[in-house]
Amino acid sequence: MRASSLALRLTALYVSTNLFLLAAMAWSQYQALATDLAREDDQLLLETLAASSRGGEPRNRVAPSVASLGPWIREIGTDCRILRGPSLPSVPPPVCATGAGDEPTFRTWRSPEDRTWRILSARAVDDAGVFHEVLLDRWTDEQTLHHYRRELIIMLPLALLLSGIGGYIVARGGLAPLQTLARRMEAIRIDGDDEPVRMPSAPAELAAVIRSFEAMVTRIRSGHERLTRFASELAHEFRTPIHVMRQQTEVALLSDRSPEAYREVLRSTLEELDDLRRLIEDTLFLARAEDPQAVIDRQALALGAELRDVADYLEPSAAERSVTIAVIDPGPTVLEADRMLLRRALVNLVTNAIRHTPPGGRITLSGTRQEGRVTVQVQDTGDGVPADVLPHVFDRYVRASGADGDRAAKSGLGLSIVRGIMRLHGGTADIASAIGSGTRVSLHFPAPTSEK
Amino acid sequence: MSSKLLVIEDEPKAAAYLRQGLTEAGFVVDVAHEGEAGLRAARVTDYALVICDLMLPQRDGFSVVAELRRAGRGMPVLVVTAKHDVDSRVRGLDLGADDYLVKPFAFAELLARVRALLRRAPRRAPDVYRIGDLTCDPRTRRVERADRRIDLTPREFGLLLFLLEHAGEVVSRKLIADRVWDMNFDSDTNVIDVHIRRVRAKLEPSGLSPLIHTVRGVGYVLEDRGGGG
Repeated sequence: MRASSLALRLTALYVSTNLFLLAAMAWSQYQALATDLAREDDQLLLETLAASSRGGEPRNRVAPSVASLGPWIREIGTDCRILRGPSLPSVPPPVCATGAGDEPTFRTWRSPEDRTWRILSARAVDDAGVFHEVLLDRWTDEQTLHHYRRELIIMLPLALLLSGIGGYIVARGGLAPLQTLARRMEAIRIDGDDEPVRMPSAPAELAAVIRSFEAMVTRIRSGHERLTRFASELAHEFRTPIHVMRQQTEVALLSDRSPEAYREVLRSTLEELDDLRRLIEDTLFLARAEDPQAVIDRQALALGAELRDVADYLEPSAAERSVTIAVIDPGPTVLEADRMLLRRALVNLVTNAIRHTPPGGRITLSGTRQEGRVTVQVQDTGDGVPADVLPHVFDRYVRASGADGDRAAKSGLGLSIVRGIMRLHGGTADIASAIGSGTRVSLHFPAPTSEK
Repeated sequence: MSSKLLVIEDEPKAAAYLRQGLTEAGFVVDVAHEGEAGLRAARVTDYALVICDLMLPQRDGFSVVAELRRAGRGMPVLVVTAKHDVDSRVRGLDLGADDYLVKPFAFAELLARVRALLRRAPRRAPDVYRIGDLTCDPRTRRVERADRRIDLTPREFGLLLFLLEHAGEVVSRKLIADRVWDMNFDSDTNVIDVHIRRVRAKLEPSGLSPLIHTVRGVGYVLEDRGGGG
């Protein structure tokens, strides 16, 4: 729906409301006027009748210009003959034997000339057989009401038209910020970093919309930026092994070599390919970990046994660097987690710790359970992570500088995978570190949702 | 061991190298480049095993496996795919595939799986393993080399036993991590190399010929290559 149609709809609503209100008002005014006029006429008739019955000629109360409208008095005999009365071109026929008792009765008569007469009949006080009738031609009243109606017929549509135009202008004006907003939105560039909408003077109703929209744009931009960075990092990560393979293959083909030399090239290529394969698998794993629908195989695990298995697995690697791995027995703590994913996270963390802990250091694995939530910690006595790197260690391809030549350390995806694993569990990972005194990574698992 | 295998794989290079590798490993190999042809071949020839890619033109691997089973062909099927999602794995196995490998895989891994599937009935573990001058008794956990007893930790023993069970086969680091330590993932580490180094140090003191050999880029193999080899 375009903004203009919204304005039209507002206008239509406005006009129809006005139509209803004005019509109701005009109708009730008209009714009141008509009732007033009729009551006045009836009053006049009654007064005239009373005056005449007090004897003497009725006083003509009507202004001379309209004297021909009455009221007139006439006498009707028992035989329905008019005994006395005005001689006018068209007068209401007398009514005989009204039969009504002594109470005066009113009636209305419409002449062939389409004029309305009001007639009051009453039995004469002195003569039982004779009726007095007071006649009034209501022509002026009719005229008044007619004018009133005609004015309404002209004024009402005019008023509606004016209110419609006014309403449309107001609606358009009120909705103008929407169109401005639409234009601003159209101009937004997803790779820009300016303030997206720039409408500081937007009306209050729109301000909320603009705020949410700007927040959305910011989120999209940061996602887009991450994606762009990720794509270029990924390309860069791919480039290195491919470059190595290309170079060594090309050089190998430059001249005849011994079979052993060719074999060496192929072996080296195989290693590079394995790096690439692992890189792709880890990247795919991370992509899956982002999928909120991803399912994991949760089971109740004895945390102590898991920690010991991991320590046992990595102990020789640590020993080679004169680092010890200790497990603080978490007692009978049970953790609901995917076993392979938990092990993978712990192996990544401990491997990382081994890599960054100088000889003589110690890596400690521990776990605690509080109100159903289990926290697993890997603490080392290593070099620590520089404060500027710390917030980014869980990002892809970020490695602490000074990582040694261990080729397995190449991918830089270890901690991202840890975070992905925690996300799959609905938990979080955080890191605390101080230069020179070590690093502690904590894995927070949420309490199991269903208590079975 | 000469068994006839069928490889259904549409990618020509991949098919050619599978054929070459498997032929050099002592198998007779037929190759079909699309599902329909593969299915026809598998219906008329009594293959010992079928290796089938899942994404094939015309008739995909799922349908080939299902059709084979419907036709009453019971040979083991090893499904191979580039898709790494649980769904296609489960679906493939549900339809009657016997094992599943995700591309890219190590050829040694494929060979190990093929051999395992062909063994069908689990190989009876010998009472005592003997490789060259190494003996290992799984029940008493006694390991001797050149008549000298070797003390191994339980994990080291587990690693040696796994290598002995697959003596002569190249086993990948990933497979070792999975079967010996129950770490079924590619760990970002050289941890298996370190474990192997430890066992080697005990098994191959100076003066004795190496038994555990590194196959670069692939993994390890335990075999007696004669003196010094």
